[in-house]
Amino acid sequence: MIYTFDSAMTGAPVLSGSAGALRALVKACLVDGFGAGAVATLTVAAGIATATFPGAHPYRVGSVSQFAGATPAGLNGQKRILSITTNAVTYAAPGIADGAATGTITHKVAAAGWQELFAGALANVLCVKPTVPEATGCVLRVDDTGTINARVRAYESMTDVSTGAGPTPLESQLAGGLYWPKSSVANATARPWYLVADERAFYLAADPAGAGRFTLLFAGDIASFKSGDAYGYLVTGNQADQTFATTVSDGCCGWSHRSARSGAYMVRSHTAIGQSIAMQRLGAHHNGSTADVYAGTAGYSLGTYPNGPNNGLLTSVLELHAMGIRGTLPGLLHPVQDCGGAFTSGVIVDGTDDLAGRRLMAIRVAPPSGSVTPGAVLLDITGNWSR
Amino acid sequence: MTIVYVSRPFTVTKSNTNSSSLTQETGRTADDKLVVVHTVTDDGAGSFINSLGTVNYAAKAVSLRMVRADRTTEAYKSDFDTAKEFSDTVGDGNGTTTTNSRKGAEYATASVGEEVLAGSSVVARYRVAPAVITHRTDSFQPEAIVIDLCPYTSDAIVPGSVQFLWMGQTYTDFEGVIYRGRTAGNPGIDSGRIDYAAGTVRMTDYVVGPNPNTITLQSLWTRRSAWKTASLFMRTQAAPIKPTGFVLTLTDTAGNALTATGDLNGNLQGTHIWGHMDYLTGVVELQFGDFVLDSTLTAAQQAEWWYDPAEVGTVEAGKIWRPWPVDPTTLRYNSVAYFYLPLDADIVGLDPVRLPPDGRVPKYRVGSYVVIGHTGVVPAAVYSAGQTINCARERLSRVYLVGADGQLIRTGYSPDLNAGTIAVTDVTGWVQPVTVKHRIEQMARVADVQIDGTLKLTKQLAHNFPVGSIVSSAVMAGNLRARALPVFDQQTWDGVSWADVTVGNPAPATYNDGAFPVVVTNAGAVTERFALRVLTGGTDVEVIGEHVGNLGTFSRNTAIAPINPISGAPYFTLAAAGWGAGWVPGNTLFLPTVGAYFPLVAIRATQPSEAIGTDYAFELTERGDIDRTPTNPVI
Repeated sequence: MIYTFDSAMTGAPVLSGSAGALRALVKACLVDGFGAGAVATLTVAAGIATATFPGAHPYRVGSVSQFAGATPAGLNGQKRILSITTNAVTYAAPGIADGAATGTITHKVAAAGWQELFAGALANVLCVKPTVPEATGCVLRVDDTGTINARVRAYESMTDVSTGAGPTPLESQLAGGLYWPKSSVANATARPWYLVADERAFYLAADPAGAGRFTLLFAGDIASFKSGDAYGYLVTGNQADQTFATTVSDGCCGWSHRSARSGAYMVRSHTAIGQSIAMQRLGAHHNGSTADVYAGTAGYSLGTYPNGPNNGLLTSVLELHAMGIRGTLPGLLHPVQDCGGAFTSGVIVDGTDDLAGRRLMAIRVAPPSGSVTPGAVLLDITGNWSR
Repeated sequence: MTIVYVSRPFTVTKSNTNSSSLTQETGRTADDKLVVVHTVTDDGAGSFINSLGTVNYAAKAVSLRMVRADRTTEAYKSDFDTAKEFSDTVGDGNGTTTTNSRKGAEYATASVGEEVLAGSSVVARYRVAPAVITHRTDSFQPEAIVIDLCPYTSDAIVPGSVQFLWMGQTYTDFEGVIYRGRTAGNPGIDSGRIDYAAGTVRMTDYVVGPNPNTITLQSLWTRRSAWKTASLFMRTQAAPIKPTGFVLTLTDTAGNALTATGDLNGNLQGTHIWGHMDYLTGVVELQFGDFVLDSTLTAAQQAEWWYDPAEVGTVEAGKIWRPWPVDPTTLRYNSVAYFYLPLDADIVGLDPVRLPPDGRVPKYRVGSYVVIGHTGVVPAAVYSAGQTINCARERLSRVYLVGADGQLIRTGYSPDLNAGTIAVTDVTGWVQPVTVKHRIEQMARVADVQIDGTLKLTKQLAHNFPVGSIVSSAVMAGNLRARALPVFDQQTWDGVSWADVTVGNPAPATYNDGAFPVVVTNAGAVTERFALRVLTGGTDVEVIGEHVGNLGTFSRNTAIAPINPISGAPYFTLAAAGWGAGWVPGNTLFLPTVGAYFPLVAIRATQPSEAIGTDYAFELTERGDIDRTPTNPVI
């Protein structure tokens, strides 16, 4: 199941230039959920449950809510929201008899089902890993003691909050770990963000300058071409403080590099031997002569959107290359034609043809400041992401 | 004629110049006549001692003086001494005992006649001289030797002042007894008795040495008249006295030792002793004497000063109190007194003001609860799985299985307390043979507590408690249940001030503990005031307990349940759904909880001293009553 979160949801954690903000954000979205509250009424009619709240609620169409305390019990659990009004939402309740549910019913924005390791062991440091058994089980460590950046590293495994095997990137590759931008200024001013996650990986789109120019970060299991890839875990991030940079952010996944570039590391190569290895992110339809381009701009050199022959939106995957093409980033689509300003961040696009039935959320990716034309990527928020 | 008292039974007069001797045996009759039996022996040379007469052996004739007609006696009665004499006496002790210093006195001189007692006779024993002189040796046990220490005064001897040298030995007196060889470390050898009033010593055990006729008096005090009393009032040096811890000894004027011992109630008892002691203050009141039957008193006794017909029968029927004079200077006592050390609260560890003065705390009180219990034992036996151990009594409170190694066995059996049986299910790990201890208990309320240890209970005992049952006092904890008090919030909090109401402005947001009450459990909750302060970012709160400190950072997006490390259960559980919106960093939610525990302290005060044991144990047992859901509800 795909979980989407954004900074405009009621009760959403605030990303700002203060210590601990990113940690709280990641923890809320992946582990805890947020926006908890009481459900005033919960009624079922014709297989559709309608939950009414005492006030505003945090949900969007397509986001996942976790209900608890209702009788019948079939109304409890993680439910994808089908429609919303100001103070009510609906979700599918197949097989539940019509009528009003009873009990002290609570709701919250469902977390993606990850787990936190070593909770409370070190202030503002978060270690999370997926709980599902098919995941590689690598651990993401977010050191959010800084203000404008958090320092991020992946580990094959960890024994305590600061110690683990297979640090990615290695200290030699980037001392102190990757930079995840939070805000260009060290204060409590809120910055927009999006977070799209499934049980094994997540994308975090941060807008450190608050200018609608997002850096799209990724951590988690990739869609590996290697069957049973035990080390198919990627983490991306900036190589330095780039919260107000005017050039492309190292860790942004809305970018295609024909040339090798750091900012993305997997815990081991496909040979499963060795240690952290830098990965090249390569748009599958990257054409033309421009070496490094944002998706959804002219750089892919495949014309402009919509595509003339079918009046459609053409997308491609982002491949990962090191010692061969390792795999792709799951759920991420790069528009291969110049979309201009067709998609703003957070807009939902219904997929067609191969993507029929899927809803895609656009994110405008760009350096936090400067004049580089923002590109756009699409994230599959319907799922499941193929791996 | 009855001789009632022989004060100086023998006077033997001998001479260095001849073997004649005069022995005078003196007695006193009931009508105060002196009767003297004179025995005089000749010297074998025709003479009697002291020119009493002559013997003509050949003529078989004796000439002997039987009585003297020239004796006189002086009587003297002293009223007082001259001032100088008295001053000297009490000053440097140089006073004399001559009669010249006595004033206001009467002298009388009377002739005393001697006569041969009527009805008596002169007995002459003689032996017809044998043809040949024979010799014979006879051994005999001598009578006690009486030494008159005060031949020149009628004053009484001060007890304890006598020391004299006789035949190379030093004799001292102590409480009417003459000892020799008595030192600070040696009680000496009982050698005789002293009569303080008469000034005589009766030597019954002595070492024979040279010069038996010479006595060197090394120390002797006399006083004009013996201080005699028959009543005594005193106070011990230390008080309070341990009950029965008082023994008093003194000698009467005849030198007999009297001993008074106290009983639990403070009555002092002993020969010729009647009295009472207040152990708390150490005050002693004693009378010496006896209750004598009035009918046994002679007319002469009834004429004595202490006799008052009105006194007869006032205390004991037909009896009157006859005082028995004692010498108070010989009084000694031994006592065991309580001495209370000042308690230092820093050392004792608790405020001694709360302790009773004697350190003993009443264990049972009227209205309090006691638990009567008895532990029975099933003798050690080897058990196997499937066996059932029958404790032979029902409605047990507990059973213990103790292995041969003395360790408690905790698994492998299933007791049926109601039936009094134990089903053995698994003996793995048991150290056989196993002893089974089973207990019956009953709790009851005390209706009355007697000082003799009797407790009266307010209800019947439901068990038959055998001898050896133990009564324990029970401390009532009352009804205990953990609960959370209503929460409140503040806009800001300084982190150190703990209040029960909002101080300053409340937070704009409010936790809805009506819909999402704070959940506490008996296992986890403590009596504590918790503060949940919203941290920067608004998502996390830090949970701070007034006494348990900062428990860490918790996300408001999940239920907050800080773990109590003692029980492993949460201190409280706060649902995420109750927070609502609007919390900003710095807002603080206060969450007071009340734990279901009953604090008590068991104090064993060990004073620094020698160890008299190394292994002590006691058991504190919790007892609880629970309510059972009715099987047949009324509604």
